Amino acid sequence: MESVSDAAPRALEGIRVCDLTGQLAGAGATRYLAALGADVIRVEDPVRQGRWDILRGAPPYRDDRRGVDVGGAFNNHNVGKRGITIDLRQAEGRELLTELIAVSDVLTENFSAGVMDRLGFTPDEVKRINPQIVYVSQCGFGHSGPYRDFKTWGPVVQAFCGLAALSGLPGEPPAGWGMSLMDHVGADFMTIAVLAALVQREVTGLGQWIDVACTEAGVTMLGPALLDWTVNGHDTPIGELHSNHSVSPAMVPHNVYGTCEDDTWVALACRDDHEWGALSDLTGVPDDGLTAATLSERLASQDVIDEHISAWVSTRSAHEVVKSLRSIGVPVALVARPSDRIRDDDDLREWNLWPSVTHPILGTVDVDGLPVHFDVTDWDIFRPAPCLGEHTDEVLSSVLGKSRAEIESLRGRKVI
Amino acid sequence: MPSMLEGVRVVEFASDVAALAGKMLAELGAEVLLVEPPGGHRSRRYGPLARDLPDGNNSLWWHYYATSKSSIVADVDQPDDRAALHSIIESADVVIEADDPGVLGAAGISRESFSSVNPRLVWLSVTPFGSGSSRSADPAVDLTLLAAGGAVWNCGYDDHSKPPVRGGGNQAYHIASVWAVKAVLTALLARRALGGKGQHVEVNAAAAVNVTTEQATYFWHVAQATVQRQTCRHAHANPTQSPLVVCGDGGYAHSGVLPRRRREFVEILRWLDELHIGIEDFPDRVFLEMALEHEVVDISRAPYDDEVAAIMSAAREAFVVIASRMPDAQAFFVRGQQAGLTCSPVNTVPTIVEDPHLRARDFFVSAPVGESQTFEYPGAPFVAKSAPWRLAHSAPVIGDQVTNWRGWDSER
Repeated sequence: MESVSDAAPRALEGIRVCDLTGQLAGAGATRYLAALGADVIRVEDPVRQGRWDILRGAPPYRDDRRGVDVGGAFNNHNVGKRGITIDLRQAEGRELLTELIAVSDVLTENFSAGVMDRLGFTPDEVKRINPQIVYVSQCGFGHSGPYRDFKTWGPVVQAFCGLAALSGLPGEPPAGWGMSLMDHVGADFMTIAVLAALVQREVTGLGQWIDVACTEAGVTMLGPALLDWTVNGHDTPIGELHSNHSVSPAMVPHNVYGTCEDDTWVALACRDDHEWGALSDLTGVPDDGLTAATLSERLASQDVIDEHISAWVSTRSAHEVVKSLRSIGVPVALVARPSDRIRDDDDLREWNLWPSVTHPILGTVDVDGLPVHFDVTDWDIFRPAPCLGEHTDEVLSSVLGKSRAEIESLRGRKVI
Repeated sequence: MPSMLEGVRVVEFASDVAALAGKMLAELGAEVLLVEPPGGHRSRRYGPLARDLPDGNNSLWWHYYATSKSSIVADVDQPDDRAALHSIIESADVVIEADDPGVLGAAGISRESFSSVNPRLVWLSVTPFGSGSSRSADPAVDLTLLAAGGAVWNCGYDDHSKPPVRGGGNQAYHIASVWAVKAVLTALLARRALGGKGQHVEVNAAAAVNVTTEQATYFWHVAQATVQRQTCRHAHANPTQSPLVVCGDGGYAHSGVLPRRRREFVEILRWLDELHIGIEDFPDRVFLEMALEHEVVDISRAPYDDEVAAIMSAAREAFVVIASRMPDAQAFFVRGQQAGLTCSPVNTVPTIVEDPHLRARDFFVSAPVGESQTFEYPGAPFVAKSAPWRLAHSAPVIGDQVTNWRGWDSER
């Protein structure tokens, strides 16, 4: 399939990625590189049909068909990549991977710590094969330390790094995040590691090995709450925290309120006295002596203000609340369901946030786009995720220079 | 030792949403010059405050996000300051603008004004909803970005009479910042393909949240299914069991990924034995023993296979019983992980700061603040031994002299 774009240069043109990642935390990283023009060659295991990546063949499904090539999540996370199979248990398979590393700019993997070492691809060995290569390894706890061999998954990273405990309401257990936030963000940090090392390589001509620990990346996302403990010895315990309120920066009101419609909510906040003045005029300040002109007064009366706003919102539709608050310049948003933001949001469609790819089995399906636009070298997502081994012959021939007979021989010996 | 972004010069107009982006670039080795309005950027006054002292240099927000940056105060409405800013940007690689879209442009500071004098310049704009959006002029905060982007819908409790929850820590700003860093680095690399030229890049913060919602989005893409929030686990189209368990001291732990393989069920049974939890204490143990008949239990069959459903339910219940007999979440975590079970304590800030693994990896770093204090910060988001991340210095205070920027006269 050809790109729909014209011949404009691609941002990462000429960058070849030998990609052993999987799941979202790894595959999400190389997905970005592919969208910006890198040639990402995903290497998978023919013996287990690529199922080391638990998303290969996993739900959601389009219809009743099942199999390694019809998983909706896998398709979303692997658009734009080429896919090949190599059995790394075999010496010949490892030799093929060595050849691919030798002609690549980037090597990425997110196996458990130690797997690449056991296969023989230690950082030193990879550097010996190709001194220019940027080699980025990612796992939950990194490649050293007492938890080196422990395993994670997005919500477990979030629990460990403190992000899950930053989410909740008073009198309740932690609410967590309702999604694998740290699979996304772990992938983002992996991408940053790749890109920053490529920037440095332009100066030095040399590659390097980088150890990404998703749990540590997560701790860097805690923000000022961490300093509040290390500097002040202050922490708000689980069960007392109200994360729909905001203490940094302090704002009142700042909350999620229920509308008159079933399970339909709006979020709103006043950043300053002026916005509170406009909101209190709109909603009618209760006539019981509430003094709330300044932030310190509003902080002291937060519960009363929440009750007041809550009562006002509860008799109105979300559409009415959002429209009213927008008209007075107060930050407001519908708590958007998937349909609100994917099906019904014209701005996001206009941004091309949900491009389509045409998969040979799934057919045409929407996928995530990128929340960024470059005015010259913009991203492009047009190729679906590879079916298992879809590009093995093509890559072995055009990248590694193997003849048809050599490829057939490798296939006959189940190396590919 | 060289840093990854050594020699890259960034001019960052101070903001809330992109503050982390500037910090990340600075700590990867770029020179980052923060431009603040007269009186300092408003975030210098955000709480919490160090030792609850109110004076202008105690904002822990500022101390978190402005590390490793230099700072100048400039009034874009004053011709002299505008001229000085022009002079600075003429030698910069990157400009970051994120506050009040349009304000800089109205003052004559835009990428177009540098296209001839500094064609290599990468100009990054972070906007709440996209500059072409019908909401482009709407004010936004972290809460409303997370709500508009779908993150709040995903998060909360099984009881839907309770509101959805916005997770803390200003993660919409962090997500936008992480995308901003990716975009800047990509544009720096793209200069090679463009004969050295920079370009304009825009990050849309609400869109960034939208594509950080994982299965909430792709379940819609593929099956038009709407996920529903559940307590401390993935929002899902079909209800799932809670992974949250309470340990002997009342602390929470996350029991992680459901076991699938025989060896995992063997380990859970061994753990139950170790704690003397027999069939009389935990009757569902029988289902765990049934699981031993399978090499791998196909958990996708649970909705229509009673045996698989019973095994999965028993596994979660086993963790509840086990956790209640473990002294605390850390003990539960270490014992579970040593048996190959993917679990975790639900750490709070105090427990994460003391964690022995992070301490062994020297993750946390310290820097002097003023003449008499030392603050401890999170360290590198990844370890690059040959080009280390580094926190160069604590956040600048108003009045710090900036002397090393071409085009900026610190005696002005």
